[in-house]
Amino acid sequence: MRFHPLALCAALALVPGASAQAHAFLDHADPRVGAVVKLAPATLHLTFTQAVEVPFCRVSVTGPPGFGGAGGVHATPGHPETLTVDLHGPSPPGAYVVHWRVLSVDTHVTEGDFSYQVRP
Amino acid sequence: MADPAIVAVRFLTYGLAILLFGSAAFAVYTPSDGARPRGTRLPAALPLLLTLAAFAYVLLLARAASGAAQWPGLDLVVAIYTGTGFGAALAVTQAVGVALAAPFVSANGLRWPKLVISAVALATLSFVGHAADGAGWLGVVRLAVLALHLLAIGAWIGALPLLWRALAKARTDPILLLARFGAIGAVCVALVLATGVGALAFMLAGAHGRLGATYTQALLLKLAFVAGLLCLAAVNRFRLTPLMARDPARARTALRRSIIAEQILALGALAAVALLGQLDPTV
Repeated sequence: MRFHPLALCAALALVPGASAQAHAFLDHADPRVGAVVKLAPATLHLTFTQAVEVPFCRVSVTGPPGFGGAGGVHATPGHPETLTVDLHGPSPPGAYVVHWRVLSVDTHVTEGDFSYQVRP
Repeated sequence: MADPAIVAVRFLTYGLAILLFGSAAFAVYTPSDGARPRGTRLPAALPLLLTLAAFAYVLLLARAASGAAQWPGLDLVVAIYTGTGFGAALAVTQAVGVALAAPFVSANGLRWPKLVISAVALATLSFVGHAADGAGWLGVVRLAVLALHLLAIGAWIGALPLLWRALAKARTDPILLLARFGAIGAVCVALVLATGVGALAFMLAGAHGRLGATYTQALLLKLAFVAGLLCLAAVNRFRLTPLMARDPARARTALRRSIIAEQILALGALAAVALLGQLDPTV
């Protein structure tokens, strides 16, 4: 039987834990990127393509007048690639922009932003 | 975009750790019984230079993490050491540098302890880079593969400066020296190739089989340097080593020239590796 190196790559790609990206980029968020939600969220969840070092992650949120702003960034137990962000006070209807800046476990800093809207 | 300062300090940290482990390994597999004359050692300042390079690495990572242009405060630097895996790894590297520079360690002797602690410094560097982003048992395997890759490189490439110096000394028994270095070198080359394929497989899997153009160019550059190294190693092993029995003077001169060329190629490969560690594989 002949062994092909690409077979090893393919096999590794199918095993959980092997599919990291080497730089942390936003994989998905709750609320979803570009979403229009009826109920203003009390927390945001940002999931990245790899584990991040939470103490060095920053998330800021800008919104319409009256918005209470973003609070602390927390780790999500059991999910080292997911950040939980508390939102303070009222979240009136309007457009919100989330800016994130994270440090991945493999030393790289990445940043980006996304938006969502609250429209009851 | 890779930060040139981080690439430079990564180059220094890895290079010095490889050199220190290689020289410790050289002292073990060529004991001073004629194969290697006494006094074939590296400058005593090199371990402290490793400590400084690893500290500079932490400072630069802390600055990058803060996002500020100015140097980070002490609290942030401490947080990198205590709150991240790569910070802890670089702390270990720094501690090893200090330990190797201690007078009672840096003196002759203590060959096995030096080998073990310099191996710890080099293997720990596998936590400082892409291999640290694995998860579960496969993440552990990935780290182990890279650690073994680094140790094999260290035992082979890191020993070249001392081999070069030993070959210059008239008291050296070159045939015995080359027999020992050749045996270890063959094992190391096999390990470097096997673990290199493994590390690349993990990287390809992480990038879903699609490496970016910039990353691929840097990778090809590294592989070109490695190919050159392998060619020179083959010439040394299969042409110049046999020549030592027939024409020692000519063989010594040719081998020393070849080893210098190997070290230049190794520096090129290391520079490519330092850059690869900062690049996004998908870009």
